[in-house]
Parts: sequence; structure tokens; C-alpha cells
Amino acid sequence: MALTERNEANREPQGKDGWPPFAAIKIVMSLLEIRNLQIDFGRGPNALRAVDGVSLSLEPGKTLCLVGESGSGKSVTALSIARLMASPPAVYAGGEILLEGHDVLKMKAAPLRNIRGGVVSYVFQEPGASLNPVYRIGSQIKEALQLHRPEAATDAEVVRLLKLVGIPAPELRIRNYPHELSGGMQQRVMLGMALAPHPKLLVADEPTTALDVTIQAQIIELLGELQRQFGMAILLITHNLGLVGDVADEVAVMYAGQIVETAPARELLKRPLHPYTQALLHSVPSLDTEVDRLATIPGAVPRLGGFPGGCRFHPRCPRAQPECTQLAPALIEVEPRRWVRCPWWNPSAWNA
Amino acid sequence: MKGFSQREVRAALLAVAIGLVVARPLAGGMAELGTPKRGGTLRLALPADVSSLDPALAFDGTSLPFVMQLYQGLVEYDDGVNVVACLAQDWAVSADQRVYTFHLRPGVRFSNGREVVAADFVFSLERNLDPKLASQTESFFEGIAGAKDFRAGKALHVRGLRAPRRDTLVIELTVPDPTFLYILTLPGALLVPREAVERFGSAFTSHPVGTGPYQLTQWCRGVKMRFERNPYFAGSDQPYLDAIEVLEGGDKASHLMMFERGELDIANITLDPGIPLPDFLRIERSTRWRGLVESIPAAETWYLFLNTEMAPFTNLQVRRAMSYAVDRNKIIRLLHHTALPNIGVLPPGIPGFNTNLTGHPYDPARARQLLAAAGYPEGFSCRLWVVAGESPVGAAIQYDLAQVGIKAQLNPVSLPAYIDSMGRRKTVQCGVMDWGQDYPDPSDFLDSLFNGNRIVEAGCQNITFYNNPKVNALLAEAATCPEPDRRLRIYQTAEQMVVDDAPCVFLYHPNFYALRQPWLRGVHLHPVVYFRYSRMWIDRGSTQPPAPDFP
Amino acid sequence: MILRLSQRLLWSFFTLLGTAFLTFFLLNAVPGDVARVIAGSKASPEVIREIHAKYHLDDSLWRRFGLYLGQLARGDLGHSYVTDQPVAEAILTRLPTTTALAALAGVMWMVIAVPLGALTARFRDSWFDRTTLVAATLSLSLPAFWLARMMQYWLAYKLGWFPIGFFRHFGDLLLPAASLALLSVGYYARLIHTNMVEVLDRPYVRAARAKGASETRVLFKHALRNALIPVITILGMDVAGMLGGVLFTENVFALPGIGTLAVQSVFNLDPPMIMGTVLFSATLVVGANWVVDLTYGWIDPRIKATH
Repeated sequence: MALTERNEANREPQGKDGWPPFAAIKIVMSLLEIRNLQIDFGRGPNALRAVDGVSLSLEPGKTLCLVGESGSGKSVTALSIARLMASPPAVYAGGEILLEGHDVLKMKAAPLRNIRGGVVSYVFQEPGASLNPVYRIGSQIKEALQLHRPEAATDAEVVRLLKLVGIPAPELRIRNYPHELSGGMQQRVMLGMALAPHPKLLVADEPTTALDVTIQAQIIELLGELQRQFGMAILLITHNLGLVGDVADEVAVMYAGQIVETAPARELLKRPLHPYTQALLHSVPSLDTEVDRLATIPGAVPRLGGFPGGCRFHPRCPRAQPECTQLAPALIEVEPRRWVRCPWWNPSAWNA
Repeated sequence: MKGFSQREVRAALLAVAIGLVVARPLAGGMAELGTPKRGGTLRLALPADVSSLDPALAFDGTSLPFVMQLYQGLVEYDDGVNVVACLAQDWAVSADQRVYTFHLRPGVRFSNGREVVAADFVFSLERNLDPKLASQTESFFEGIAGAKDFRAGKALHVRGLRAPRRDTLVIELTVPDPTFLYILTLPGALLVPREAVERFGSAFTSHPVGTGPYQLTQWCRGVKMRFERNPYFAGSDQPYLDAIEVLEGGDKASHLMMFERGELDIANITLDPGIPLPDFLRIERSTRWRGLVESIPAAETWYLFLNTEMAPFTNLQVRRAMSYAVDRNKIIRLLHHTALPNIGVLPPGIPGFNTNLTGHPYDPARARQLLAAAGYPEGFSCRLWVVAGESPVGAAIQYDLAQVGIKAQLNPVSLPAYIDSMGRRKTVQCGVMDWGQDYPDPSDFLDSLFNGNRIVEAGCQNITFYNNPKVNALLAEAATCPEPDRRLRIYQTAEQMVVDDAPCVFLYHPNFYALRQPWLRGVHLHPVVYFRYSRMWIDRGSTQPPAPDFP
Repeated sequence: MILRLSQRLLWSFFTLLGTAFLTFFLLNAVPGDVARVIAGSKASPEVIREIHAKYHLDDSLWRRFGLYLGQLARGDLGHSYVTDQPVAEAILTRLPTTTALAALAGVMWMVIAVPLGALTARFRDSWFDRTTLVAATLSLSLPAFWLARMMQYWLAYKLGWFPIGFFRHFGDLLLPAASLALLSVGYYARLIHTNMVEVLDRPYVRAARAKGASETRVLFKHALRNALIPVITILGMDVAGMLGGVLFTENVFALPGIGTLAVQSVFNLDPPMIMGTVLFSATLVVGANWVVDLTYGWIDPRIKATH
């Protein structure tokens, strides 16, 4: 089957003693590489910058979690990967988004249509709203097939996909309308629809936020399961750090339009370096400890155009220094594959 | 006045009228002369469906010409206002002028093939008198002996209608009536066959069977009527046209457009005035159409009636003042000269038209004098009823009255409401109305409109409720007067009295116009019946359909 | 379900009854005696009396209304007092013309309004959108009679591209239908535009784009279907309303439709014909309501058809 062939291609070639054979060295290009992405709303002097110099990279088969509160610019970033932000009002002010080496921001309409679904697929926050209410789910999934794998655009394939995402009695379900399904089922359908064209990257924008807690876990598990089967990369957008540990390989934390910390998932959870990340982790309630009040981060996420001078987080930062109001810090690579946007990241450099 | 005496003006009026009637056929198109050709279909249009083709029920201007093609009566009009023989070959009148004996023409058949007998006339005239039928011309035949009893249900038949032999009809009147022959030309007297009436019942209106030159072959109600030759028509004057098609719907403007594109043969057969006023000047000035306009003075008079029973029109001076206040010539100009001014009751062309009549022509100073003398130095207010529509006459009168201090408020109403109200006592103060002749005789105007003995509480035709015993006596005398000349003189005296009393401000007599295609000949408007389709013919020759007129 | 159905039936019945009541009493408040119209201005009082007796014109209004209702219950719409034609026959013979005219006009304006509305929503605030807005406002403001006359004058009379009037074959309806369509096309184009703009903001439209659907497919398959749902109901009501007669168009173009019949009957003060045409129109509107409600469930799957 095509799937396993693809999986083979994505796996790193094995040579003797676990080292890659010289003859078979293949440069593993990043599947997705975002370089210094800048997105504005509006034009001219009144333009508001929602995404300010974001850079990310994602390799095939890996999962990157993009974490942040609402208003941090994470959804805008994610939607830009397939250039789904409506423009106007959004303006792609700068940077590149390289998908398999091709800059999405410069693509023409036809290739863009090809990569949408064919290379990168989406799953959205409200599955009910993301399905067209007047068409049966079977035909909606079939449409995804028609657009990218027309030879497989059959009822049988649709049923197979529905089975894959764990929907019972799929032969009956294909005739259902979206409103006839529960939230969890709708999200499974969306997943099925997203995977139908065999994309290389799945962008899941808060896929579980609108669902029950119990269903949430199921969906996340399903995601992981499907990744193992299909071998695609996943970009998971969420504000819920609790999910991170289960699925992510790497995590990037966004605040006020900028990446403030990137790290491998386990590292980040064990040893967060940026004050914001620490505060976020601190605010996740745990079942072990009893608390009277949930911990919150004082203050609120600044609005677009209302960013404070210097470091954007400094008004809410427990470790803020006088310099923080003046200097806007840059990302520093403090360790291999660990980047932090704070000069005071080193715990040993503090005074109290 | 303006240099001409009233008498001269009226004489001129008469001359013009006669001229129009006589000269038009000659002047209108020298090409009119030519040998009639047989064949062709006449294409006409009407804005609304004809209400009925039953001769007893159809009395309006649009239905009448068609009814006259389907049915015939004992007598008919010649090309003018004289009554000549039709289904009756000849007749004799008794010495006391009450009994008419008609000898019928042999060999006449209905369009269903059956031969006509005298009993058919008895049937037709009785039917017309039957109150259940609600004939429009029923009241005209009340003079027949026994009619009243028959109507009241006291008798099964009308005593005065007898058919002693197959070919002889006798009609007896209660009192002599010099207008009786005219009355016999009315549609109520047209011949209908009993078997068809009984067979169709109320549907007879759309299944006509008559002795006329045409028969109805198709009627999609509200859509189209088609008439074709009656194969049993016995007259020597056979119609030339094979068929007449009447399309129903649209309005005068679209009909005129269709005419100019050659799709209709006569622009408007509604004769009101026959060419829409907004287009009138254009047509009159256009070299293409100018020579194709037939016209005739309508036997109709328009007036502003004053209710003599309602103040302030109870006052003679006030009424005369009203007459002096109105500028008739201005109204004529507003109507694009499609009418002739008048100061009397009778239109020119009616026997008895008096060129020596003196009336109250335009003289606003005199009007103000009279008003002051009558006790209205500041004028007064009144409600002026008019038929809702586009006519400028009401507004023109309102303006003229205002110049002498009379504040008239216009009250536009629909025609049925108007007719109903003006016939009721003490309801309508004054209004603009017209009276169209039923037959060309002064009695039709003077008796109907100004006879005090005919006043009733509702449905009164004497809408001024004018009651002058002297006039009443004159009218009664003339009604039975056996000498035609003396009779006319009596009517003239009566008319002068009426005009002196000024119960109306007499305004104008309109002309009727017919705009025809160059290939349609024989379109002479008849003073009573107007359109006689059986006299028309189509001669295409080398005539191309005209291109539309670009104003 | 049966309960709902019978409730609706009852409502419809009372609507029609109310219409009949209002019309009947209003009609009799108009001054003027229909007997005068029937008998003519020169009729004698006896004839008038006869007509009054024949049509019960002297009875009380309530009694006459009751008589009329009884007649209706027997399925008899009566005969015109003026032409004696059966009312039902008069209406039915004119129905095809009016229906064809209304249907053709509806098709015409939808064919123009749907793409216009969809495309102006897609290209919002472009010169195309702005021009269409102006044109649509113009179309809304045009008086029906004036437009019909102007089109007749310029396109039929001057240029000769269409017949001036009368209905001989179906093609004769093109110009009248076009003049009718022009009156509504602006309204519908803007309505569809507004709905489309709203729908284009919906998540499922974005999701469709994310699937790789072309803009055309997104616009016409995904968005339009949703945007048209409310429009269809309005269209149904509009067409039903037109079936009651479009007077100005019918009059100018000399089409034998129900509109001319209705107005003629008012001028004639012809009670059975007036009642007949009004009730016919009212029944059509009530019926259209029914049809729209029943098909709504089919058009929009989210709504369970209200049976």
C-alpha cells in the first residue's frame, strides 16, 4: 500500500551500528519551515501586527505543539500555513512559510489548492461549525477524496476512513447530516475528512477545546494512533498544557505574537525557562495537590497595538527588571534545540 | 362680445359641424374613393372585455357597434340621421299616430338558418320589457300599450304587440310618440330568436344569433372576439370584410403604438376621443397620419350641472353668474380643439339645433356683478364633482370660478359612484357631466334632462332637479305634437327657456376621431352608430405598413 | 403531528375567512350602486329594483355575507354581476397567463440575482460590488408601470424587437416578464449578497477551502446552498403574490391575466368577481406558506419538517 511505502520513506535509513550509511545519507528537509513570519491586520500606519517574526520548523512524522493563550497569534500562524487567513483584512507583511521547500506565501492559486488537503490538512476547533450543514457527511468526505485522490473517491473508501477514525456503523453514518452527530463524532468525521487525501502535515487548531473532557482524551489518543498509522507530522495548537506531554515531540510557546520559548516536550515540562512558560505550567491544576484557588497569571494578554515597550511580558512577569521595559529581548539558543526569549532565563542568575 | 354675435357664433358652429360630417369623407382622403374590395380581416383592439353581446343588455359605446353587426331591427339609420327601412319593408301609421303596422321583408334568416316571422318581433320586444332581464333600454318602450301591465306582472303578454300574419307586425302605443321610429333603432328592439334565447339562457350574451351581416365565431372572454360573415345575411348590401378580430386588453397608449406599427387597422374604437389626448397634436401634425383621421361631432354634450334644489344654486342670478364665469374657449384649447364650445343644450346636428339661441357666454365682470347682486359679493364655496381621470376640464373650471370669487373644491369619484349619487335628490351640489344621445331628437336631451315631471328621489336623470312648469308644459305638448316643424319650434322655445334659467353651464360638444390605416377604406363615422364595420373594406394595393412615427 | 397539522389548517381557514369578511364589508362601504353599473345610466327605477331583488342588494350586509359563504361552501364562486361570466371560469382562464408570466419573471430574476449576489459577496467592496449596489437600489425604486411602459416604448415600439402587447404565444411573455424581473432583481441580488457575506464568514467555508476546493466550488457549492435557504422562502411568497395578478404589467402589455380581471371588477363594483379574485389571491398566499413550510425541511436538513 502507498501508506507503508511513505512510512518507509519517512523513516531514517539504518546502516550498520545504527549510524546512517554514507551511501544512503538523505538530507531530511524540514517538512514545514516558517521563517520570520510577520502578519498584520490592516494596512499603513494603522496596521496591527498579530504575528511578529515567528519561526518554526517541523520534520516529517513529528508532532509540534504550539501553545499560548487566546490572542497570542497561534491560530493566525497555523492558518497561514495553507494561507487560509482572509486577506484582506490580514496582510502577509514578511517572512516565508516553506512547505516541502516551496513558499506558500508566494504560491499561485492552483498549486495552493493542491497543497491544501494534499500536503497539509486541517482540523478545527468547532467540528460542528466546520462541517457544511446541508450536505451529508459522506459526500463531504468524498469531496475531499475527489479533490486529491479521485481514483479512491468511492463510498467504500469513505466507509473505510470512518472506520479508521472509530465511528461505529459507518455504512449508515455516511448518510447522516452533521447536526445528527455528537460533538465527538463530528470531530472524528473531520479527522477522517482531513486524512482522506493523505496529507503530510495535519494542523489541528484546538481540536478538543469544544468537546467534553472524556471525549477530549479519546480524540487525542486517536490523533496519536492515526499519526502512527499514516506517519504524518502534526502541528497541534492548544492553550491546554495538559495535552502537551502526551503527544508532543517539541513545544513552542507563543505570547503576544512572538515565540517566547521552544524546547523538546519533556525538557520544557521538566524545566521551563521562560517566566511565562513557568507561570503557565504553574497554573495547570493537578489532581494531587489540593488548592483553594486556581493559580492564574496576573494581568491580561495585551491587545494588538497595545503592546508594552520592551519585553511584551514584563508587566506580568514576576522577574521583571528595570531593563525589561526598554529592551525587547531576542530569542537566544541556550542549549541545542532550546530557545528562550528572556535574558534572565538562567535561574542561577537571579537574586531572589 | 368678441366681435361676433352669439347668433353668428352658433351659425358658424352649425356650419362647422355639417362640414365635418359632409366634407370629411371627401377631404380626409381622396383615396377613399375607389371600388370596394371583398375580403380581408379587420384588426381592432379594446381595453376591456365587452360586457355583453345581448342586444337588450349592451348599450355602451364599445358593445354597441358590434351588436349592430350581429343584429338588426325593423328600421335603421341611413348614412345620416334619417330612419329608413331595414327588416320592415314598409309601414303605415294610423291617423291618430298610435298604431304602426309593419310589413316585413321576406326571405330574412337568422344566422342559425331559420326564417324570420312577425312573432319573433313580438318575442324580442316583450323580452326587452321583462324586468327580470334588466334590459338597459327597457324604459324607452314603456309607451307600448300594455307594457306597464306586463312589467308589473299583471299580464302575460304585451297587449300592444301583435303579429296578425307571418309578415305583419302591429305595434300600438298608448299615446302618439313622434320619436317612436327612433326608439325602434335602439338595441332593445333588435331581433332575437326565441329558440336560441331559451336554449342558451343567460349564456345567450356570448352566443348571439341574429340577422345581421356578421356572426360571432369566437369569444375568449377578456382575450379576443372574432366575427365572420353571416352566411344567411339576406341584405343586398353584403359586408366586404370577411372577418373582424377584436383583441381585448391593454390601454389606449399601447393600442396606438400597435396601430403605428401596422398591427391594428383602427387606432382606437373607444371614441373617447379616439386618439389619446397626449398624442393628439402629434398625430394631427404628422404628415403620415394627418390625412387618415376621420372625425365627427359626437352627439354628446358636456356641461357643469347645478343642483337647483341646493343652495346657492337655488338662486337664478348665481346660476347665470356661473355660466358667465366659465371660459369655454380655454377649455377647448386644453382639449386640443377636439371639441366645439356650446352655450345651449342641443349639439349641432340634432334636428332643432337653434342658431339663434342666446346664452351666457364668458364674461367674468358680469359674473361678479350678478354674484354681488345675488348677495354673494365675496363669492361662496362649493363642491364640484368630476369623474376621476385625466380630464383637465374640472381644474379649468375651478380656476375660472376662483377668478370671480367662487371657491370650488374638486371631488373626483368613480363613475358608478357618481351616477348613483347625482341621481339622488339633494346629494350632489354641482358637477361636470355629459349626456350622450340615444337617438337624434331634441326630446332625448330636453325631456330627459329638464322635464320637472320626471323628477324622482333616486335614479333621477334630471340631475339639476330643474322644474319649470312652463317648460314642463311645452315639453308635454311637443311630446305628442304631430307636426314635425311645429314640434321642433316648441322644443326650441323650451330650450331657450332652459338656457335662460341656467340650470347648467353648457360647456362643449366633443368630436370623435378615428385614426385608420391607409389601406382601410369606408370608415365614415356615422352620427349615431359611429362605426359601421360592414361598410368598410381593405385595399392593400401597394400600401406598405407604415413605420412607427418618431416624434 | 396531527395536532400541529390541524392547528395549521384551522389557522389557514380563519385567515381566509377573515380575508373574505374584510373584503366583503370594505367593498360594500364603497359608494356606488352596482345595479347602476349593470343596468346603465339610463335605467328606469323598476329595472334597478329588479336587479336589487335578484342579487339581494337590499338585504343586510350580514345576511348577504352569509349567503355568499353558503355559496362558497358549495364550491360556487358565483357569476359576475356585470358580464354574467362564472367567476371561477374567468379566473381559471386567466390563470395560465399570469402563472407563466410570474414563473418566467421569477426564473429571470433569479438567474441574474444569484450570480450577482454570490459574486458581489465574493468581491466585496470592489467597483463591481459598488456598481451592483447602485443598480440594485435603482431597480428597487423603479415604478412598475413606468418601467413597463418604457420598455414597451423603447424595445417594442421603437426598436421592434418584441411585440407591443397581447399574448399569442409564449415568446410574447418575454418582455413583460423582463419588466417584472427588473423590479425584483435588485432586491434579490442584495438579499443574496447579504446572506452570502454572512455565510462566507462561516467556519465550514474556511474548512472547505482548507480541503483544497477552488473558490468557484466554495462559492457556488458550499456557500450558495446555505445562503439561498432563506431566499427560497421569500421567492415562494413573492411568486405566489404575483399569481394573484400583476396589474401594471398585464395592463400595459395587454395580457389577459388575473390582475386586469381584479382591477376591472373593482371599477365595475362587481362583488362576486372582486371577492373571487381576492379570495383566490389569498388562498394562493396561504397555500404558498404551506408549500414553503413543507419544503423547508427538505431544503434545510437542520429543520425537522413541521408536520
